[in-house]
Amino acid sequence: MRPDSELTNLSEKVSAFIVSGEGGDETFNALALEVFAYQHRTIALYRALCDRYGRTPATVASWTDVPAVPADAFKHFRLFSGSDDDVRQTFRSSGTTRPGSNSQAHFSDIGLELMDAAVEANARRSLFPDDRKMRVLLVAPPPERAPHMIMVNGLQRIAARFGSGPARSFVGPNGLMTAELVGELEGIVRDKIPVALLGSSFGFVHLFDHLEEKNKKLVLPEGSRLMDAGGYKGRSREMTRDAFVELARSFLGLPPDRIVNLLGMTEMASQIYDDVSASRAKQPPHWMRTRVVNPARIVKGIPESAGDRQGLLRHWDLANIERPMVIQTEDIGVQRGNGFDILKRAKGAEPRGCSLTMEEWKGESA
Amino acid sequence: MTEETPKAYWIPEELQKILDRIPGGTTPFVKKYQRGDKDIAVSFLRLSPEALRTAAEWLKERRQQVLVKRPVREIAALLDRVADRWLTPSYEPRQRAIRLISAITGFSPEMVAHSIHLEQISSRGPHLIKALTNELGDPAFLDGFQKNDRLGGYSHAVGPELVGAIFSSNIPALPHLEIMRAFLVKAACLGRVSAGEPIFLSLYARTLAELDPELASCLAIVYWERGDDDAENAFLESINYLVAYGGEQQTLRLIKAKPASLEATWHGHKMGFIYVAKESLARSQAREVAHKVAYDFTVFDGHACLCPQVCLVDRDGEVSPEEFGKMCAEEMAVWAKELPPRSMDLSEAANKYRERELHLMRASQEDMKDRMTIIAAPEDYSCLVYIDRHQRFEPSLGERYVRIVPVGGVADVEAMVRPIRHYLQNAAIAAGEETFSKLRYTLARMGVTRVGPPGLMGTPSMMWHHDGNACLGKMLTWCDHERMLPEELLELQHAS
Repeated sequence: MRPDSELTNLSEKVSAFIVSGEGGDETFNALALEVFAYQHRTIALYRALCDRYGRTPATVASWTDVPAVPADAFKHFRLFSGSDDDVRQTFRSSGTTRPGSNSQAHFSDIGLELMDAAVEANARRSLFPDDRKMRVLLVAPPPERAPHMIMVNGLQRIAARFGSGPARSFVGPNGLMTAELVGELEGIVRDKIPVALLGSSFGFVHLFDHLEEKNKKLVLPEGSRLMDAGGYKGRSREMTRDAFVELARSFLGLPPDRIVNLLGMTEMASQIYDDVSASRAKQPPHWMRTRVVNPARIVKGIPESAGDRQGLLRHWDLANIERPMVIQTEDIGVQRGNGFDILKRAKGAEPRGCSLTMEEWKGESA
Repeated sequence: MTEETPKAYWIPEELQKILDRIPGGTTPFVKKYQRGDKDIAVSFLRLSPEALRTAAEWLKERRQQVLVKRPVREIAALLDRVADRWLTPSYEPRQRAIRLISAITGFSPEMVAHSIHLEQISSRGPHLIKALTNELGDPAFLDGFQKNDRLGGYSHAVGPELVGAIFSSNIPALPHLEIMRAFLVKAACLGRVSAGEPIFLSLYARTLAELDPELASCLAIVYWERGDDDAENAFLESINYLVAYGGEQQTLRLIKAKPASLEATWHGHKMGFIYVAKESLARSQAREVAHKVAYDFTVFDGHACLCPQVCLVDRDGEVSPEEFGKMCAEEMAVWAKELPPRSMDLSEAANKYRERELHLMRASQEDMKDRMTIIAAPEDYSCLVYIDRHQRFEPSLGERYVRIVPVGGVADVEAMVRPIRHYLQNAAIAAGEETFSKLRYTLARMGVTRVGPPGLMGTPSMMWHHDGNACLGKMLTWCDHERMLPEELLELQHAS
């Protein structure tokens, strides 16, 4: 079988599973092993890492034993199953192209298509369970201004599938176009047409701050919803999830179960929504798994589970078909039921070489 | 049994009473430390600017009453007795320090005990006297005017009234060094403890107080939050000499903040390295050298300025850098049994995990195969040993990650360390006499302040000119009693 037809074939199987969920855990495991075998064969650097730990398709029988790559590996290495000619699009974790400073995720046409399927299935599950088409407003830059951002790509996909028309972006060269956005929202309130507001968490915080300053409180028409992603990244004040939900409720009149957060990362084709009905824990979709692990105890490349203690989040994503499927993040979280809470980032350490601890070197503590 | 909450501060009782009368003068608070399964609460005392000024004045008065009146040998003898206590394995505060410092910093109890041993051995009285002799000629100059034949008269060395210290936290049981140095020049000491290791200083002060409450009353260990400029300014304006450990940012900030006339000794971030020349790679010697190199990478888990960042190894020795690397890895395992690695918190473990995996991946990249070879990468993180053929100095993560860079002799060594010459401190060299003596000149001119064989990097003596400074001498002001004209002096010296 030619590699591309093998990829097509595998991608179709994963896509079918994403859409149907049929076969549950068993199918997930079988597909994970197939994806692992494919990646072990086609991504040389990943293969070398797996082989060092003796984790090969011949020895791995459970998805839990498939080795991960650190998320940071995408900053330093080309981790892609295809050739350079296969790359249709490359997403980056930041605007710069300096090697080592941002993650790069390469996608072929097949990979993009699979990611679209995952984005769509996820949005249907968590954002549009009513499968209702509506106006989509984007609190994120348009794709032509941020072609490298995987989140922007995902938002476009959601807008294309669930929007009732072209989605308008309210982020311009100078940031959030607050006045225009508020004007648009006021029109929506007048016309009583429900709207889906999708965008970056910090963008929404700027919107709430603006509304507060103008002493305006809107009540968006019934059926309206909000999805935010990406965290605050120091570009707005930081806040807890409860505080965000309270602001969205207060300034936009949205019911809490219509305010949903999404966790995505450049290194992963799929995203994880939170469960708005109850705990607000993140709930990986059926084609993903997340485990909270303890990186201090590792056996043959696999860290042990952190149990009910805090640990690092490790994600398995079948839609990451052309890049290593298992990603070890530096997000600290805790298991909650079948999902997890994300608490904070591990404190970074760069090389040392000094008389004091790293935090002190950087002048951040003590 | 509930244990007393450990204290990060030490205030003489009488001073405490005075500070208590200042409204808002002192604020007690508790910091919680979490690592693994252990939670430890430590009580701190934050001083207001006014309280800091009051404490400084009070300590200066105590210095006048106590330190100035004591002969320096008596002070050294007391410090020796303190060291003796701390060297006694059954000494309860020592056991407590080992337990608490280990729980807070993650260093293994064995490593903390080892560190206390190293630091207190070099705090013995004879070392202190020798350190003074090394820098002053005769310690008695501190006690009063002593005959000084060179000038045909008398000389007297006077220390500052009050040394202000910004303490370090990276090496367990080391920060008392600055208390000793202050006392040895008969200066009182007011210091800010580091939140990174808040335990040792107050326990050390208590031993001082047990043995000599009067001398202990010349010391206060306090705290203020980083960024509390008012407190910091009050401190800087009240002290007569500053000794500060800290990173570059802190040093630059303090240089700006301190009164221009306040003299200071800075211990900023520094780096060391090891060089193993081909003469020391003879099969008969290499194993012993590797054992010592491994010790240097093990001690303090790479958390000290003294620790090596990299080990440069000659390519053309009898034992190749690769084979030497294997020996190092074996010896790292030996040391890990005696001095187990630090226990990590989640962030530290995440960093070590990431760095190790990235190294493993980097080494297996097609275009890196000629550059990098992983020698040992145990999954328990006890060490990582790898060959990196890229001749560039890079700061390491520490934590027993051993980077071995093959080189082609002394010229390569010079070229590699020259770009970081401003950070150089400690160099361990295993080489024949000729290579060693040639290289030490080059390194001295580059700014290296200590050279020696491998195995001693972590154990400088009290006599070392710490970061190139005469740390005791620098704090002194001399008064010379001269009695004759220069020509008379010449005649006198001809006659003798």
